[in-house]
Amino acid sequence: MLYCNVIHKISNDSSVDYTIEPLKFQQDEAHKLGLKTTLLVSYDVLFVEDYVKYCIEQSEKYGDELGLNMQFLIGEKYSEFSKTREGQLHLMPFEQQKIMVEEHFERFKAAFGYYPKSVAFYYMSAPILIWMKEKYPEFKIAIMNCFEEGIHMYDGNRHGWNLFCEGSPWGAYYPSKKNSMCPAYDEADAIGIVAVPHLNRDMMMAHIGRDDCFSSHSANVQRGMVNEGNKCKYLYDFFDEWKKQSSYNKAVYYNTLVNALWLDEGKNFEETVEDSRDLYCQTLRIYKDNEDNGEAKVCTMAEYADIHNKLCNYDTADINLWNDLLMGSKRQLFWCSRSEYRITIDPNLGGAIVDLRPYAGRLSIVPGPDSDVMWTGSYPYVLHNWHRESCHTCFINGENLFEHRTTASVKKEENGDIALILEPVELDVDNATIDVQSIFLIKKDGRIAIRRKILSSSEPQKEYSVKEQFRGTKGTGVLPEDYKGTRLYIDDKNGELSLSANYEDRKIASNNASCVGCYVPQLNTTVELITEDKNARFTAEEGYMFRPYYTMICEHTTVKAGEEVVTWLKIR
Amino acid sequence: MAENKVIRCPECMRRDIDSELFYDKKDDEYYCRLCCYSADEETAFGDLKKFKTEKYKSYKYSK
Repeated sequence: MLYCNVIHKISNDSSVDYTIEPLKFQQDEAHKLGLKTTLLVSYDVLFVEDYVKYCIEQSEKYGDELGLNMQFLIGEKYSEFSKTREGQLHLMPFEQQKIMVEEHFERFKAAFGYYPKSVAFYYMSAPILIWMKEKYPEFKIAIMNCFEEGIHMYDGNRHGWNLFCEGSPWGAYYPSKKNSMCPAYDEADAIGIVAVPHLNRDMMMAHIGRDDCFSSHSANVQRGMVNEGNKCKYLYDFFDEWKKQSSYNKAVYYNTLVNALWLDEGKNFEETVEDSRDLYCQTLRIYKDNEDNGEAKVCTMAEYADIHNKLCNYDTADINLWNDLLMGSKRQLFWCSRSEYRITIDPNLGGAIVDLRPYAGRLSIVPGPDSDVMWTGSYPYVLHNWHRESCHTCFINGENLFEHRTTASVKKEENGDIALILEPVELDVDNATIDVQSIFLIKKDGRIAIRRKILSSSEPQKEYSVKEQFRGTKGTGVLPEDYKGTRLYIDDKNGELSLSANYEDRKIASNNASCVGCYVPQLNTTVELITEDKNARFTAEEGYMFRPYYTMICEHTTVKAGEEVVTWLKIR
Repeated sequence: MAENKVIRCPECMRRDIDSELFYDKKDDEYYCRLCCYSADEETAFGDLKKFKTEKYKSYKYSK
């Protein structure tokens, strides 16, 4: 089931030519369709009696929820109180964050008689959320990140929008006390709220391009120029593609949050206000139609928190298999998010692992002026093909599966395992033609079995080499980052082989082992390739300055047609 | 003479960059501050439409 929030923001910013009319338009259109909204109230609004009355009236008459908007702190009253133009709470020092939150919460209570249950940020780190939950137990759900808002968006906005929160889950989850981007292992690890994203994103375009052009936000879609006036098939296809994710997940969260400014005259690039409003209304109609036919349920943010608490456990993996909507290709992208990691597998690249965020490291990342990360709230990757040309792929007798695109399907097993099944690919290797199928089996305990099977061969007696290659690095952006000190090791039966990475192009190798691994100290993470194949060969290479990657190889050397080899990928 | 309208640079859009064109009243021309693109209003809008058509050529706009 797709659970949908319609979220509106009410602001009062005297620094821009602000009028409440577009917001009232949004509210009225939602209510005409019988849809409840979550109305997020900004600080300055709390000082305007008429606006406060309007909010209360909307809530009492239509059942709308009133929540707190802290996405962009702005306004005359805010400036008077804060004495700063800093509008991003997550970039303030912790003590200043507490002062701001307390002021916002107390003003909200003074206006409405209760503390907000729902709060919106663009991104927020764990320490202040923990403090908020302790001080205000009613607080139960927060908009906490913009999925994959980072490098591509930064480039697209001419390096002026300094919000970096790549690497998070894309849906609703229980955030960890150690890092708000990581799904909690259990109740002890959890902050105690439900985290939801700022908008749903196109799960292909967010990886290969800008997350802020292709989302559940009608004006974003106009920014991406996907519409033709008030016609936009993409809005419908996008919603349907999200609905499909219900096949893999018990609850799929969906929201739309369009700031009223986008629906005001002259505020949306080349678009007319009439088209912008028409498209917004179509968005609401999509919700209504799907709710009427039982395929979606519209609720408030706080109501969704209760639904999530009822339906979703801590150890539930979140799955997304996304099909290209816009470019007319067969391309798909697979995502899996769980407490230990977030993994992205690209069938277009033969099933290469193209993005891997090792949440198991539980790094404490708290942006701010006193922080070593400063602006970057992104959870670092241990490999990323787009940013750094680093991925996990497989070679069959030297032929790289990366160069052979395929498609995939997902199967959920009864025991909780998840299988990503790739369609077989045909390879020409050493004067023979073979069909190879890959399956990624994500076990309930988090281990990943990479299964490769040579289904058939034009030379049935020939033996093949199946080589799993993990080319790793570490980072959050596109420039190389230092992984010096990464410990590479192989559990050779005669004694462990190891080296500490220092860019000297050294390697270690063994024909008598079962595991090759690396411990990346900067990520507090260990990644291993493990197999029971007694004929496997292992290699680990540290890389060098011009090619700053460490590489782990597990090579199965005697694989015949009809045989399957399994390599376990373990992240801890 | 064209008014100062909001038009994004078609060349920058090809690189996924939002860059609004500036208007030169003297030359009655729109120009980009990031790249070397410049054109009159009709050409600029036409180029933007061309970009859109090419980028999403495999996709149908209307429902």
